[in-house]
Amino acid sequence: MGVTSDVPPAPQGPSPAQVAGPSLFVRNATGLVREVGLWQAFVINLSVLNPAVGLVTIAVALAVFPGTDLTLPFIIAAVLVMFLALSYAQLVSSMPRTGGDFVFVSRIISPAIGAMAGGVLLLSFMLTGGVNTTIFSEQYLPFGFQALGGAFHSSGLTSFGTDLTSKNWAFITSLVLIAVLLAVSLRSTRLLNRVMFWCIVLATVGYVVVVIEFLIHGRSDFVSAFNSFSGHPGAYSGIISTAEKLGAPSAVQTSAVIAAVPYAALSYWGFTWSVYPSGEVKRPMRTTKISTLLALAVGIVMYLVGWLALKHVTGLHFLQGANWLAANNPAAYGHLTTAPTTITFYALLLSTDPVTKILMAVAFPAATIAIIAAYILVLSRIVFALSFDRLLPEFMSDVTARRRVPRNAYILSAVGFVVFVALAIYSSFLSVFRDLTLLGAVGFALVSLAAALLPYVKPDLYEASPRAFKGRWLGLPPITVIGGISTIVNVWMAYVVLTKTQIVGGYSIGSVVTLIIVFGWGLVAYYIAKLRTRSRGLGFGLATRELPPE
Amino acid sequence: MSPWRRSSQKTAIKKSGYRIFYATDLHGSDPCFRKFLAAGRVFDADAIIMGGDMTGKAIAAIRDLGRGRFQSEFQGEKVEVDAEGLEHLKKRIIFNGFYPWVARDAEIQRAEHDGEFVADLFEGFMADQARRWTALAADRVEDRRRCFISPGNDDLPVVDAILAGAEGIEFPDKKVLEVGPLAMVSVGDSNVTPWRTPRELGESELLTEMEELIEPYTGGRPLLFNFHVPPHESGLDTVNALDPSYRPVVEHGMITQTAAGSTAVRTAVERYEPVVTLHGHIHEGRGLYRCGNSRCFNPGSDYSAGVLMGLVVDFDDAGGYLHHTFTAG
Repeated sequence: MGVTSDVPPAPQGPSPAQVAGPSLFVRNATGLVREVGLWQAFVINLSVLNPAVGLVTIAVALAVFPGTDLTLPFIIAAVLVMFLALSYAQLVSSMPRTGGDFVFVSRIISPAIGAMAGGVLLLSFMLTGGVNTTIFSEQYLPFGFQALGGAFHSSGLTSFGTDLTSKNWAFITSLVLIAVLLAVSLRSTRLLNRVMFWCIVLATVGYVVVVIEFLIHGRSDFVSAFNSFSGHPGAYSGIISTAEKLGAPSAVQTSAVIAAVPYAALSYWGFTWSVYPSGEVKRPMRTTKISTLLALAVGIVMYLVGWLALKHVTGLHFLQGANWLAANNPAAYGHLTTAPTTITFYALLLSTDPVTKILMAVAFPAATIAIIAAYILVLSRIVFALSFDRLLPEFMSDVTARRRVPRNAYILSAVGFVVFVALAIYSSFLSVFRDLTLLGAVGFALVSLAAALLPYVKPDLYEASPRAFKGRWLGLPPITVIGGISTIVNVWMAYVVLTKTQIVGGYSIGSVVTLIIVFGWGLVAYYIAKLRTRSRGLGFGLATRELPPE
Repeated sequence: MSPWRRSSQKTAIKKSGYRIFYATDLHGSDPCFRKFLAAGRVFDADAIIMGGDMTGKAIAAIRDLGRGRFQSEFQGEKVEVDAEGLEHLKKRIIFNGFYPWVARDAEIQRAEHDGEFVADLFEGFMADQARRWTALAADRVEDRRRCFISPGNDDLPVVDAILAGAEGIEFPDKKVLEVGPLAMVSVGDSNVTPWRTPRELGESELLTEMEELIEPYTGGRPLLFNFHVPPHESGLDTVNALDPSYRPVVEHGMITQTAAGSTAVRTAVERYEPVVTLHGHIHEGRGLYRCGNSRCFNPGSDYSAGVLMGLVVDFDDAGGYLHHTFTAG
């Protein structure tokens, strides 16, 4: 085969026949890359998990779980999600090119359940993206302007920040943010990655600044700054006593701590992200196992340090009381102070120099932008998978020729975000945020169940792939035990979410209908696709059925 | 048989026009090839087409320790087995698309230092595999169904003569063959890859090769392209970008992607407007791309998981596109 003049010189690489290990000889063939190593997989996992970003939602958790202290939930949840990490490790070992919850579930459990899981993933990610956009518009963008106002002693900036908290402004700024991120996505996925990366860097700087502010100040500094801001010398103690008088839990309650575990578990979401490019991961099982557990360990440390520093400076009773009062009796809270109950605002109160104020003003809006950008990225992959399996129209997976971006998938994600932003701002839809923990628990339970069933449903595949653990445990394959425990943990989480009213906030017709739609649409799409493909002479079940090797 | 199964099979035979089943990049996976042969019957296809890269990428050595004991290190795991366990180990290796090689210590040591020796080994294994697979195909494919096996850029030339001379299958490479109402043009060569594989051409040479096949065709049937490499920037060719040491480029916490398809294929598709084009080469590039009036497909490959990713396309009697379904099983 001749080599012509338009053939570029060969890059440095393996020789035609090379020794890849003591017993393996590989030849030059396409796709044989020196794969993503442990460090790269760890970076991927940590950049998505990033606690500096996740920390911004701590105030929401305190409002939703009154009487909790998040120290134990963060630790317990980390132990529980470890089983999920090990389940993923075996799944990517056996299916190293097919990563993704939707594929694992549809291939191992059933296409219909896989369709349901895919449907839940799509809507829950849209919902989370929309809710985070609302948090950006209602909390962090106004906070940014207020912080800049403080840094530059500009009452105009400060009052503009306050104006932005109105519903209409929040909706407009949400639309602008979504439009800008959509424009970035349509330009190139690489640019979107870059935006996400730098937002995470800014968020991490903000995290460090906040933690330092909390650690170098004492409780008395905070009390005095809070009272001074509130224009009320007894605002700090008044909040604690008023909240207790009106029924707020006066101590840490075990039930609230347990209830917060699913939330804490969800905070670690992203630590298994290297599962998605698992086809390129070197020694998938080992790399996944170590990189996910390492990212989880860093996550625990960052969450705990952030949380303990906050508790150290503000006091747990104050945090519990302020969040409970602001959520349950805003009038009583407003009577004592106009201070927001966010971690960022508390840091701002303690900050005495303009530089840290500016850093925080930029860091926290950037943190939410990073979250939203991540959701746009993930959604495009989910849309692809669903589109290939005909659960969404084919054109949804079209990629533009020039820029190679999944344009329709991005547009669908943006439209979904706008719908959920409108619902969150103009209705009481934020309660659905609580339901996300349920969706997460169900999704993780299905993946765990797939791992547990793997040796029985796909014995050839299991036998032919490296094992996360050897031998048999209790007479069962180890992955069945691990996946089984993870399934039980996640079913328990789903049960806690469903039955604890402080999490679900009670059931309304709207919330129940929403849940039914979220869980059911994937199944409906599956059966529609089945009917459609049948009319084309090839049943959907047949298209995804295991073929008998001749 | 469950009622559900019966209904599934009933739907499979309700077809109109001419149906093809296409799969590609099996890379030595025995289970996937057997599934490929079964796919014709299961999907009631008039023709089954394999799009190239049939051969394995690696040889897994099994050290013969003597006295019926064998040792290997496979997928990071050291194993020592007896004669009975050897068969299981071989099966595991074949499942992953590798060639199991039972050898004495001296031979393995020679292979570690002698590139030509390893190249000869590969050639031998590939020839054996091609003979085994074609014999299986001749035995299993019904007379009423046509079976095409094309080479891809990763396949050494040694397989060509075996495929061309085999009974029961057709070797379509660098030919225009009339397949049902269509004229199928097949090219297994690819544009240049970072790995310098056996069948690579520069873009201009690749385009000339395609033109020389297509231009003389005067049969008047609509064209079906069976080109191993997909069109450039079609989304069917999106791969992870590699650095000079073949490591994926990770930027900003994410893997960077690039287009690895052929501009020559893109030009040919735009110029000759085939009804449908079939591609492989990029395992992650599963999907459909519309290029003018042509529909370009890459069913992707998941051979290492033992899953056959495929594509069913139905054509009307005039060779017009009717519909398609991606399959996985």
